Amino acid sequence: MSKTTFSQNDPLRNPIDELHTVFPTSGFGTVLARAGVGKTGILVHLALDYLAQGHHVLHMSLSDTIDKINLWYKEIFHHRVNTLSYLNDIEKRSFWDHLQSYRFIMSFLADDFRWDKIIDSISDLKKQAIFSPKILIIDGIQFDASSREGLVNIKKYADEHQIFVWFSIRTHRHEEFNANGYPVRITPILDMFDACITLKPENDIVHIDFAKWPSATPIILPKLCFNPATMFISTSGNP
Amino acid sequence: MKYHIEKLRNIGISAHIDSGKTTLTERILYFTKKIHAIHDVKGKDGVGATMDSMELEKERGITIASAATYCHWKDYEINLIDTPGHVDFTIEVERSLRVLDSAVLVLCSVGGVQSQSITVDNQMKRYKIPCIAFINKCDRNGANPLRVIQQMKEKLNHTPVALQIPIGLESNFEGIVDLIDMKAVYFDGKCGEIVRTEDIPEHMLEQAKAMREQLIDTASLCSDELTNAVLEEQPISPDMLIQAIRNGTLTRQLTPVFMGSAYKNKGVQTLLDGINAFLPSPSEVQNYALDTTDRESQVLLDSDPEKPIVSLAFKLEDGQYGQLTYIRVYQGALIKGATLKNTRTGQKIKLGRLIRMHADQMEDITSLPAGYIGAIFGVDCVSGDTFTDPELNLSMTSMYVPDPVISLALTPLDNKSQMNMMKALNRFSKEDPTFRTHLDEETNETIIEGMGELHLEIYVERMRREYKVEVNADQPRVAYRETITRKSVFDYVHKKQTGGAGQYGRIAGYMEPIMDQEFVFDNRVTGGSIPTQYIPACEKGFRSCLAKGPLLEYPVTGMKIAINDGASHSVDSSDMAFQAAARGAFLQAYHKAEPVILEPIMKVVVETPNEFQGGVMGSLNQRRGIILGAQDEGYICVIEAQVPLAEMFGYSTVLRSLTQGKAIFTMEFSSYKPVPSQLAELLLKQRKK
Repeated sequence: MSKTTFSQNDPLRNPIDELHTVFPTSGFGTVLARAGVGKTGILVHLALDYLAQGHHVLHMSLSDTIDKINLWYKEIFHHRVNTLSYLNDIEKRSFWDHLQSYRFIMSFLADDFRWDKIIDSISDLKKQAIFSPKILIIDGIQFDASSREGLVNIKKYADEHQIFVWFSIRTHRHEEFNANGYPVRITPILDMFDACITLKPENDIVHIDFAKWPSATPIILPKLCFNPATMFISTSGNP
Repeated sequence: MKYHIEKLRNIGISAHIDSGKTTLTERILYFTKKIHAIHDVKGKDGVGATMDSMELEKERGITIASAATYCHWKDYEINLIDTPGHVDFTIEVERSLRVLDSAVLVLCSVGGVQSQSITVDNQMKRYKIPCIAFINKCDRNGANPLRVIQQMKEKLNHTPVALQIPIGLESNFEGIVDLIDMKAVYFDGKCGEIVRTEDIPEHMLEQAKAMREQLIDTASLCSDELTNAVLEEQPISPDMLIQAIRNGTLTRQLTPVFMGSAYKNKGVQTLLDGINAFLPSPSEVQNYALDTTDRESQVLLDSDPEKPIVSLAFKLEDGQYGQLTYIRVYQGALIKGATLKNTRTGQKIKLGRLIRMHADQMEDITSLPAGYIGAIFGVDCVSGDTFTDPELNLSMTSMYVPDPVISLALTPLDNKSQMNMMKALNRFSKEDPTFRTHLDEETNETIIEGMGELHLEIYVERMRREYKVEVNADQPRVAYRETITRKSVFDYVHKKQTGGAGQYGRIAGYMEPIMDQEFVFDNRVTGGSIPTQYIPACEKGFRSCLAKGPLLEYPVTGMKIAINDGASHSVDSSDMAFQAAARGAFLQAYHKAEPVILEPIMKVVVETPNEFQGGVMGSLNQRRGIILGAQDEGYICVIEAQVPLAEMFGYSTVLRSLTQGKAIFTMEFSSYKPVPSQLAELLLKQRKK
């Protein structure tokens, strides 16, 4: 039905397709921005595209409850699906039910979060044949130089099990940035990420910058922006 | 009876299962000297908690029907309703909240904000009920009240303000530090009845000061006086702080948090002080009625006892002296011997016996002023009826009643049981609007419907015990529905000529699926192709097809029917002919509209120790469940899933054996969804047999 249209309508789709020609199965991507700019929103947009294409997405959050994460998905899904005027309400609901069956949310709200919990949790789900993710979204980890060991282990696991992982990295207004605009705090781990999207707020709009984006062939990446009020991603100039 | 409305509090106590709300109520009654001995909830001493007056409640240790009582605490009168914790009995909670002015949300300091804490909090939001929180069980292993406060922010979107911090925790829990008066409070004596205040222990002073600063910061958002005092660095008096917190509580901007252990008799008296200080009196709550003569426009009620009476019957019970009706007065006063009008029926009644309830004991009174809750005897009414002065035409807003999702067939074993069963069912369905009953004409079985397995189980058990009914209960059945999935047109002519006047009617139009509504009839006929007088007959004909769908004879839902053309005959057309034409048109279009069977899907939340997480998820998966996610909260894990109700029968036993009895689950109706095609075929085969 509308699965392909749902993804094709998303301006992020082409850059993501291009990324996966270089990293077809596993890899690390990140969305980097200050608090409240829209990292979770962008990750959920990406996740919905993967879900619409039939990929199993595991969304892990260290800051939000299941209900809150589900609400993100619901909101963005409805904003996007409501543009598909040829679908009636029942088809929209059944499409949502279909996407939900490909998604699993894990939320770690305890103070004692450890990196190895990520691998343990996925292994448990796979071992018991409950859920086998192809895309892993990890939102809310506090990164610094000491995160390298955890990332290395996850990378190894993701390569073995063919999982592409998207992280969010939170930056702070007053921290020190290097010449490329990345926080100095995370420069020791930046090489771990194969792709990087940065979000830059300007007035009511957030500009999406493909700061690091490998591609098999030379491509011109679109200039996109995210409107936090409407949750829409559009090409710059058409918010 | 003394009457000081500003010193009256109508409160409910709401919480997740087993958070200790009945224990807390028991302690409140003890410390307010309403009872003189404390009994355990599960009735180890053979008595049971005072508010759990039903035999079954004492045995199972859960509250089934809410009981009402009142007590006094330091010049204040508190009307108290203890409400059930199980989701199946939610209607009791809803009805209590409709008539109460405020509530105490009890949270377990180990379990924190649990699934049903969220449900009851949503109910409070719906009725805009201000609340205070009591974090109970601080003496238990794993108690962490500060984590619970954090969860109140994250899961309930509250702005909690801790008014106390615990002195010690778990087995070392000794008392609390009062952050308003900056004193340590201990509870001495055999039952904690002696409240001793001391200086704050040295090692806690810094923490107490920091927490008080946080408290002042948050409370200052609700009071200009406090904000000015903070900015001008003046000393903050306890009264100033209390007033600011009260302002915030009444507008639901703040939730004051108390803590203690009801079981160990610690923190209950300070909670009672908090109820007096922070929760509203009935005169501070705005209640509206609907004017039935003016298109149900809202009318603000006045708690003045001299005004004409407006009251709401919110709960019925059939006792040994006849029907007992719990009633809340919103305006004026109920006077023994006065004449009242039931707004729904227009019937006038003379008020005979007027009483106040204390669990299963009662006290006769002569008047009940606005704001108060009492009960009347011998009045025939249903739950939700409004009683007013005969000159008024006001109705209180109707209460939300969910539809039942599960049914059970009952067959009485003998004639005597048959008679008694009818009596029992009549009483239960009047008392509880979510419990319904009807006779299946085909099988001649009595069908009872309700909100869950436990809900029906309890009523069957009550029939056995209270009415001596010997009855065979069938396996529970799921309330399936039918709906259509695509638009389909019809053009049907009903024509019959059998001698004498014939029958003729033609109806054309379409049916299409709609969301969130049972049935919509849309008349688009123009030019009189169907004469106006036959349009209601068309609607009636279509509606008559909805009760038993053509597919599997389940009720049809989510359908819009529009008629846009037709024809009539000057002699042969009649209401009957158009009703028959509508039924024919319905059948003509229904199968083309790709009908499907819908089944109730439940939102299931399981709380389990982490080590059983995998097993629990597996068990939900096996039941056609879609697991939405798992939340790791330290030593426990909360799993949320959507599971068809048909697969959940007997799940409590399975979960118990899977987790050594350490996990609990709650279940509430979420939505109707199509059953998978294989199962639909199976249902079809079963129906054909």
